[in-house]
Amino acid sequence: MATQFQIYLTKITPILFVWIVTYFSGIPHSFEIFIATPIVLIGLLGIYAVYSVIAGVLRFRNCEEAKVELIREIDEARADFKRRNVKLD
Amino acid sequence: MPGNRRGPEYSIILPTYNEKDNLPICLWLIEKCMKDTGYSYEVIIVDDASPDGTQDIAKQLIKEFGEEKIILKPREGKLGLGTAYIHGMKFARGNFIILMDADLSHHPKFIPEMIRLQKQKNYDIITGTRYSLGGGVVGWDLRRKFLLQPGVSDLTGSFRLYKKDILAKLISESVSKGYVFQMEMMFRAKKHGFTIGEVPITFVDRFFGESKLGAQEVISYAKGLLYLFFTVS
Repeated sequence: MATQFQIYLTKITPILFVWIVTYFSGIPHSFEIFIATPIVLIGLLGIYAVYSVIAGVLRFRNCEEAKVELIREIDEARADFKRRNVKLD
Repeated sequence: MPGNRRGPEYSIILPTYNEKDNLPICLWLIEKCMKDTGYSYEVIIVDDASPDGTQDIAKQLIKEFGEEKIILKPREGKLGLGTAYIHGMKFARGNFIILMDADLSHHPKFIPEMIRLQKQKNYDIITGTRYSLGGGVVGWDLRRKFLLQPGVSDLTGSFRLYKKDILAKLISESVSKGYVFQMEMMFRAKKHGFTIGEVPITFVDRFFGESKLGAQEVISYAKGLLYLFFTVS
């Protein structure tokens, strides 16, 4: 079984190969664009990753209703323990 | 069905450290939520020598709820989560293990839902996911799918139901510490091809005690992801 990293390499390598072949293939293009494109793509990926981490944390289900319900249940539990004479300090 | 088995079907392992305030409520909620379901259960409290008297409280609760339901298996010191699970599992009589936190961030009301879902398709693992279904969670899933392809929306969650032998296997294989350990178990589970179901849960941040969420967690999580990405095969 391979690590995710190894699986990734097997997918990235052909793309890299195509990319390099294109550079040497004689199709007119500039050197700057050749260098810049992967950097820009990685940069965009990084921005997307940061965005989705933040979005995920914001959408974290920390509902107010759950908190309110829990507070009510805590009171209920304490009253019940008192009724049953359980010593909880 | 209950007459055929000796002992409970579901073992809830509760690692505790300084939970003298939360523990009684947690057990009360478990009892309340499981009472009318017909599912037989036990709670195994693994306390790491809490200085706040958690074990004394546990003993009072054992008197109240019964020795069949609540079992206290303490340890000599603060020894970590993975080993707490292993320790608890030694005494677990059920065929299923439920792992959850004792600090009320995990509500026991989701346990019957997890059990029901597990029965539906005989899942190996049921995980409670804190990420709501739909909306921006798509972006979150895409990122995880892109980097790790675990197919599970909440990797760091620790509210889960496992078949006993599956959990034993995953614990023995996972080497990380802290909650990266939770991530690693889930990740390895996926790699093994274990079937995993999800139950959406609500997560209420700590009532008594410091919060778990913060920049530190995000950084640790990122480090955990990278570790899993590069090393787990």
